[in-house]
Amino acid sequence: MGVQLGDIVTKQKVELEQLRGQVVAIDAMNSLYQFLSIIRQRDGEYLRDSKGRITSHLSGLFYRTANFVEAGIHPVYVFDGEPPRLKARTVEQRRVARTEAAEEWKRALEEGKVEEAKKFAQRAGRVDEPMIKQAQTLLGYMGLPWVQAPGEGEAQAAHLVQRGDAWAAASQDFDSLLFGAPTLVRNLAITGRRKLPGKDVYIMVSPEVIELKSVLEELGVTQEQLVDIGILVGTDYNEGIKGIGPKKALELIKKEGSIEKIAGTEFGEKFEVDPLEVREIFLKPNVTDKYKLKWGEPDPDGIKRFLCDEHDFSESRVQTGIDKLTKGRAERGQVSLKKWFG
Amino acid sequence: MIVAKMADSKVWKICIGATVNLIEEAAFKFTPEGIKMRAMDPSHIALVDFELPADAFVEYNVKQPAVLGINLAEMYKIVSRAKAEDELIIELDQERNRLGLTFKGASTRKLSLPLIDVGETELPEPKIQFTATAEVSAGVLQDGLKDAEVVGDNVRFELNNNGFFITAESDKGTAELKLVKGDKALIKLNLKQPARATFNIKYLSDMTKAASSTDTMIISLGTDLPIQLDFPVAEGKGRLRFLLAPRIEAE
Repeated sequence: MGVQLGDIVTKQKVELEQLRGQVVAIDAMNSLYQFLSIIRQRDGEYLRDSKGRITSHLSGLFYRTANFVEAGIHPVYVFDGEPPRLKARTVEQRRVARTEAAEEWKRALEEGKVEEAKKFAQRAGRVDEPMIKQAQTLLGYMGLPWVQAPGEGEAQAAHLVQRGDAWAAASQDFDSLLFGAPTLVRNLAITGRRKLPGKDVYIMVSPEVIELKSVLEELGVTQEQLVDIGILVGTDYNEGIKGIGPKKALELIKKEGSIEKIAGTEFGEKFEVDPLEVREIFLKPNVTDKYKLKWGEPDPDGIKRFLCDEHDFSESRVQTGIDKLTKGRAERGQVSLKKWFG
Repeated sequence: MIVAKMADSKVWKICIGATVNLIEEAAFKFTPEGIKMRAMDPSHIALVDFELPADAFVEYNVKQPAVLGINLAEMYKIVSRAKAEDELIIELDQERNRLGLTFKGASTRKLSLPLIDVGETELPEPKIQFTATAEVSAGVLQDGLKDAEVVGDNVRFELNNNGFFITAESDKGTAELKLVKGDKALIKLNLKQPARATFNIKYLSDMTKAASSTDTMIISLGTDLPIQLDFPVAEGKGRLRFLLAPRIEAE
C-alpha cells in the first residue's frame, strides 16, 4: 500500500515521450505486484502456461518494459532485500487480506459473479520467490540491469536517484519521497489506455512526475517533517493515527513542528510503535553503493526460449516485443536538450 | 489588429518548412517588435527558435501582443501554394479566429486557417558554450547528410584546424564529407577548440531540407554538446535557429 500522500502532493502529467533518454529506477516488487493484479483473464484467473504456472508477471514485465524501452527510457529494476523489522505486521496483514480475497474470489466464481470475482482475484495476488527469480532471468535476457537492495527496494531506488545514477524513481507509492527520491514518476508501467476496475470505462493514463523539492516548498515543510506527516498518516511500518489524513497531518506538523512534539500531546498515546524508529527507516535507509548498471543487447534467442518454449507465450507477440527492445537499444545515447536549460 | 507584409514569402516558407517535421503545433507570438516562436519537439531532442523583427517587414502593424496557435502541417500546405517572389500578407481575422495569408503576384490569392489553442509556456534559452563555428554552403551540407543517410542513422560532425568533416559509419558502409580550408563552400571557420559530436541524421535532414542550396548556414559545435544551425533570415535581421541534442554513447 505505502503511505497515502496523494491528496497533498502536486503531480505533473507528462507524456512517455518526454522521458526519453532518462534512467528510471523501478521498484520491482511494486511493478510485479501490479502486473499480477491487473494482467488477468476475463474471469480474473491469472495467465498461466501449459504446466499451470502463473505468467501474468512475466507478461507484464516483458511487454510493458518493452514499451518504455522503445520510448527511449532506460529502466533499472530494484528488488527488495530484507524488510525492516517493523514491516512484519504489514506483511502479515497483507497475507491475511490475500487469503480472504482468495476465498471471496472462489465464492464469487461459484456464484457466477464474474466482475466481482475479478475484483477479489486482483486482491489475492502474491509475488513469490520463484516469480522474482523468473523476473530477474527475463531481465537478463532483455539486456536490462537490475539491482538487489539490501533493504527496501524503494529506498535503494531513491538512493540511485540521489547519487545521480537515475533520473527518477518509479513506483505507485509515495514512499519514495519519504526515502528522499528527488524525483518520483508514477503510472509508468500502466501508461496507455486502461480499463477502470469494475466498470466498462476506459481512460488514458499518462505518467505523473513529482519533484520532491517542489513538494517540500509547496507544503512549507522539511524532509524530516514530510516523513513525520507520513508517520501520522500511516506507513508500511506503522498504523498511523486513526482519523488523521494527509491534510490534518500536514496541519499538525506545521503547528507542532515535529513528531516528538506531537508525542507530547493527546495524540502521543496513539502510536502503537515508536515513531522515531519509523523515522529512522526513512531518513537513514538501509542502502548500498555496491551495484553496477549496464544496459546490454537483448538476446532474442534467450527471450524466445524462456517465454515461448518454456512458458508458452505467442511467438509473434514476443517478436514484436523484441523488436521494440532492439529499436530502443539502437536509440540509446540520444540525449535530451533539457540538460542545457539553466 | 495584426497585419504583417513581407516582400518575399520565402522566409516564411523556409521557417514553416523546416519546422513542420519536428513540431505539430506552435505558438507564434506577435508583438509590436516582431514575431517570435520557440518550440521543442515532443521528445525534447530538437528546438526551433524563430524571430522576425518588425523592420524585416515591408509593413508591420501589431498594436496588441497576441499569441496565435497554429497547426504547422496546415500552415505548410498553405505557404506551399505561394509562388516564387509572391508578396505575403499575414492577417489576423479576430472575429472568425483565423489567420489569413494573402499571396500577391500576378494575381491576389487569399487562404486562411483556423487558430488553435496552444499552451503558453515560455521556453528558456538553453545555455551552451560552443567552441567552434563554421559557415558553410547549405547545398553541400544537404549532400553530406544525404550521403550519410545511405549508410546509417547517425552522423558525426567535426570542426578542427583542417576544416569541417561529416562522417557516418555502420555495418552498411561508410560516408564521408570533407570541407577543407580554401574550399569555396567553407565560407568561414572559427575555432576556440576543435569540436566533435554525433547526431541523428533524420532530425538534421528535416531541419536543413527547407533551405535552398544557394543559402549558407552557420554551424556551431562543442564536443558532445548540441549542434546549433543558423539560417540566414531577412539579411541577418531575423533568426531561424535550430538546436539538436547529441547522441552520447555511454559504456
